[in-house]
Amino acid sequence: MWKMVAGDLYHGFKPGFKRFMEQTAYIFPMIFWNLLIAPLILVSGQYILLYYAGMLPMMSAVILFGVYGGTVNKVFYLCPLSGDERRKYFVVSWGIRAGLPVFFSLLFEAVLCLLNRVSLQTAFLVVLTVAFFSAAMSVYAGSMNRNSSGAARSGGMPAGYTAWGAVILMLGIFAMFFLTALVGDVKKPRFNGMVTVFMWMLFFAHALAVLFVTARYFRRAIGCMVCYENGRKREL
Amino acid sequence: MLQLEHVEKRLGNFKLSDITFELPKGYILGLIGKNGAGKTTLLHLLMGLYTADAGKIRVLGDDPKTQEVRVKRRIGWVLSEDLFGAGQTLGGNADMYGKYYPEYSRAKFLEYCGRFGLSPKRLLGKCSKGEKLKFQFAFALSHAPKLLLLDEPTASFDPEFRDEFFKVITEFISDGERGVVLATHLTADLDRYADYVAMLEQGKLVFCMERCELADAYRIVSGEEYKLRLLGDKVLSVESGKYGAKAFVKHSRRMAYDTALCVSVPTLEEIMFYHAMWQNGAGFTGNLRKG
Repeated sequence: MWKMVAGDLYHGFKPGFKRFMEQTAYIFPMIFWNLLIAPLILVSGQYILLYYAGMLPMMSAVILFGVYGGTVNKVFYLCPLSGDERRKYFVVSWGIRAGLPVFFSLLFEAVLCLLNRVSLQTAFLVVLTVAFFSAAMSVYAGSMNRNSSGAARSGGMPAGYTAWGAVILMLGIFAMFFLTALVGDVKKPRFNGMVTVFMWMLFFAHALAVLFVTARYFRRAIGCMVCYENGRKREL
Repeated sequence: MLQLEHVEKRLGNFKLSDITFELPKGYILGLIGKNGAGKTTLLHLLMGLYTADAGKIRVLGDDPKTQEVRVKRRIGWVLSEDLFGAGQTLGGNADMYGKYYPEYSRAKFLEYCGRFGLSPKRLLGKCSKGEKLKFQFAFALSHAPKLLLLDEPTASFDPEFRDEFFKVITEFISDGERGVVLATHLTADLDRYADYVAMLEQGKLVFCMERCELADAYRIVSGEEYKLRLLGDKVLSVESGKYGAKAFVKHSRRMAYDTALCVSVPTLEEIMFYHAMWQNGAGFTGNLRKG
């Protein structure tokens, strides 16, 4: 199954990326991410590495969401796959899509740890934030819509899906910004007091939101994925 | 091959109701009806994409819902919509989805590509609508299905390929073990090739019968209106003109017509047209439709 999903993701990347580039909505978080760090770069550039090591994997989760989100080819439902196989397909696909940003984050943090630019604790918190973020974003990407042409449309998932996506996006961005650019390193914080408190508050708020959303929508996403009709009912 | 008993399916405001028919092995069933009559919904039920709300469906002896994999392995499909990945080549697409079919043969796929004038190295996104459907058809045949479900494919084919298409279909059913369901509103081809014809109208099955039986079931009778009135309740719908009227009549072998009337066997297109008129109440008992 891993091989099959990986192959499908590989072949789906090019048309998906083309679709992603046509959607201007995804540009705003990217601009926002870069604007956040801009004033701090002018003051001191030492945290820029830490910031981008956290943010780039998060961006990759958003890109993967944009590339694969909301679509599944109708052929998938016409082919002889059982409901169980489609369920497995979804879980494996979710695992790959959620796992890739975590892998990037692990890689970047490992390099930074080796370069002595960050403590193990902070590296762990960054990877955890990326893992939470990409887990939730990839569930959304699983909101499969029975769309034969492959054009991105929001279907198959309840309306709250988009709202929660925006909440997680903002919480994730700010949690990572406070963790890497402002606090810098939890072992030797750049700013103490309220900044660190805010960092922990954002970190836990983000984690809780992700857990809530994953628990709430994961099963529904599987339900939409397994049955062609389940996804279509919501379109009618 | 196919068995449907009192099948019902509701989709939003549309309802497919009380569909009952059978298709034996070795035949072509033409599914006709206007846009929105329920042809695609019925095909989706046969493909196992939808579950029937009521009734029984058997495809190749199995329930397409409970025996999903078994049924889908033996079904080939062509849908008049963009399927498969546009960014991949025809060969790439066929191999990617062919792996789900145990009987898929790349050699067979390439053979059909050659026969249909398709290059397997061409990107699907660069193909015309007709070529995309030819590709779907080649893919459908490449995994040795027992049943072909074809949804409006012929409309996008050029006349030359349409002949080739029906030649392939005729070859396909020639062993007497396989079947074809072809939904279309281009009825001229069905007049030549279909063994059975089923007509849907607003989600209801108007009839499902053998083509030759259908040829005996109706007549188009034209002549003076008062003479047509004598045919009584056999007249299903009437089209009145300046110089006479044309009636769509339920025919039986014992029926005798006035010699002054001109009687002809209706084509499928005429049957579709006049049935629609009948549904709209255009008989002598209803509102007379002016032609």
